[in-house]
Amino acid sequence: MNSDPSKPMVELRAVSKRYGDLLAVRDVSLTVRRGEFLTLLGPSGCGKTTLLRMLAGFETPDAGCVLIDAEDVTALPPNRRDVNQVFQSYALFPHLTVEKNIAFGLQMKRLPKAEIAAKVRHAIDLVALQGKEAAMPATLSGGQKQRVALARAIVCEPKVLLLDEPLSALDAKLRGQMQIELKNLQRTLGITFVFVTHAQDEALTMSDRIAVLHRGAIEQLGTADEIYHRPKTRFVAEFIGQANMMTASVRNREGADALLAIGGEFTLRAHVAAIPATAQSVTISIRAEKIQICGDGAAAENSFAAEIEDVLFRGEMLQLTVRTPDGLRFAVVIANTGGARKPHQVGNRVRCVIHRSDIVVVDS
Amino acid sequence: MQAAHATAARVGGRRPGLVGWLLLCPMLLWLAAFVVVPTLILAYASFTRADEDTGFPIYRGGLTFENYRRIVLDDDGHFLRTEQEEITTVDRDGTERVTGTHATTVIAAPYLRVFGSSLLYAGITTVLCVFVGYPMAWYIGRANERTRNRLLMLVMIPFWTGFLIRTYAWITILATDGLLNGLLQYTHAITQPFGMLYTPGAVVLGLVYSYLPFMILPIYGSVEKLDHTLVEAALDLGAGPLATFRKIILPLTRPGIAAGVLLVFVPAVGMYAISSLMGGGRTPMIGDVIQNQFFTGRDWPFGCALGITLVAMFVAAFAILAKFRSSVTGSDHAFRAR
Repeated sequence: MNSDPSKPMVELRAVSKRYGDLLAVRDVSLTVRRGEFLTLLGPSGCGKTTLLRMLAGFETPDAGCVLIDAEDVTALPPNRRDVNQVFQSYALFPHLTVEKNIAFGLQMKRLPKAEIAAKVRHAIDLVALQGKEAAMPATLSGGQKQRVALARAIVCEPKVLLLDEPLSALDAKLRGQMQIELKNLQRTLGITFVFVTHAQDEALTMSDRIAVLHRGAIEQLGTADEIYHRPKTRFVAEFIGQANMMTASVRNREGADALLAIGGEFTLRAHVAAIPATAQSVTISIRAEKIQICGDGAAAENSFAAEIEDVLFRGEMLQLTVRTPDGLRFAVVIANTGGARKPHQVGNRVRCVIHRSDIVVVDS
Repeated sequence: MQAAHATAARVGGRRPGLVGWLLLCPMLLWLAAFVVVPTLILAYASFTRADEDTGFPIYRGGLTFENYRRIVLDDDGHFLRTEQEEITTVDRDGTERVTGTHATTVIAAPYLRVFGSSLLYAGITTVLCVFVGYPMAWYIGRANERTRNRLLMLVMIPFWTGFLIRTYAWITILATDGLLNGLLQYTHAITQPFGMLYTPGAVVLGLVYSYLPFMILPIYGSVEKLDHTLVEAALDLGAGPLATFRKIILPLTRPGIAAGVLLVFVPAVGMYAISSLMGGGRTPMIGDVIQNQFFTGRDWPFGCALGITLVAMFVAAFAILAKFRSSVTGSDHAFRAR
């Protein structure tokens, strides 16, 4: 490999793709670093799969270019690109055994037989499929198929591994387990991963960086922490996690802080350094779990009285809806530590506190 | 492991229950009445002698192997015969000179040779149908639904008219004063009409034309079922278009090809009318010969013997094929996976 470590592994330069009237990808530029786990996250139809298919070579952009390891591969067919994909449906060859499925890419590279055998054995060990070498794909469980698909792709030692919603067909428990395994595998192998998903938990768990896509464009690119805590747009704030989105008018600006009025008299103090001084009205996002409930304590900053209107039992979490005397409703998620005590019940009067740095202005 | 068992149970022949047998009844009765019984009558008649006036079998006249002897051996009782062929060379001044002889051993019995040429015709037809039909079936199978339905319609439209009428249509096209020669002369591509009809080529053309849909439809069936992401996966793993076809597409569409080959080859061997109409009777196929025994030839028992021989050949071929198949698991697994 003639890799220059200072150069990005993948670079999309202003790519666009149109299907008839639909602009699936609009002017997207993106770089993926060497050894990075980058996730393309977005709802269906946001263009994430089209982007992945451009990297794989199944789609050609109408405009812009695709670089892999500093080489322009825009016009290169998939079989001549040094990338491999794990397909959503796994796409295992039904007429070949597990072993032959995994060996397929190496055979296409015309490696010596002994080398193929050794690499296949290593890959099978890596995904813990020992004993399944001679099995046909139809006899495997979903999780096992997933591992074969993974082994088949990584055995080729691609520069970039593309994963198209590989976990979506697995049940929740297995999905959680595979998330950890995938991340570990990526760390061990040091291969650059580009992962496509619509499931935010997958993105947040595994990624070094996440690109949130919406209507064919990148809304925000950043670490899980940045995306989660500092959403830049309304869409990102709404798509990831559970957020209370509100429109507020700016009052009493004092340096980095301001008093934000929501509805009529309800006010919250917040950091507003990012918004222009002239902004009158802003959209704010408050994560449901950032709102603390403290029974009936003293009046701290940004604290307000509310009544519990609804309680949803969600296992380790309780999902509450609280209502202020002004009629404002907040979604609140708190740890379910109650047990038999059940401190939070519909009709209870509580005091809520929001820390000023937890109020994020997403739009002004 | 459980999954493996489930698959095996699904694939392995499950014995039908009472309802199953009831549902099968009409088909079994049909098969018994119109396949098994007639075949048994045919088999019995093939061991009888023909009435000299009517050509009907004399059912109570004792049994004989004579009919089968006539198929396998020639009039002198030989199975093989050596044919001397003169080798001529043309001198510089243009005169031909016999410079030696060349001996070839051929099958003596004329009827066996007709069997041979029928197999050859059917074989050539089948191969041509595969090569012509596969690309068409692929294209139809990969087209969007609208185009696909239209193309399938086009494939099936010829069935709306009788097969004999279509064969006659080919005669008017291929005849010396026919449409094709006329067109070629009109466009000055040729000056003299050339004989296309009544050649082995015309017979093969007629056979391919008649049987092509039977090749296209089953292959289309497996192409349409083929998951296209498998093709993408192969390309993604570095296989070029040719390797993808050879390693993935071909094995996965093999069941369709196998069905097409059977649907074309078996009836093509026994085909009649095309060879006499388009081949001018110069290269008879076994179907024509059998038909003759029942009409102009007036020797029903011999016709029966020819028919039974043809059936026996297919049974043998199927048995060999089945044995071959069970040892090659590849294409079957592709089916099971669906």
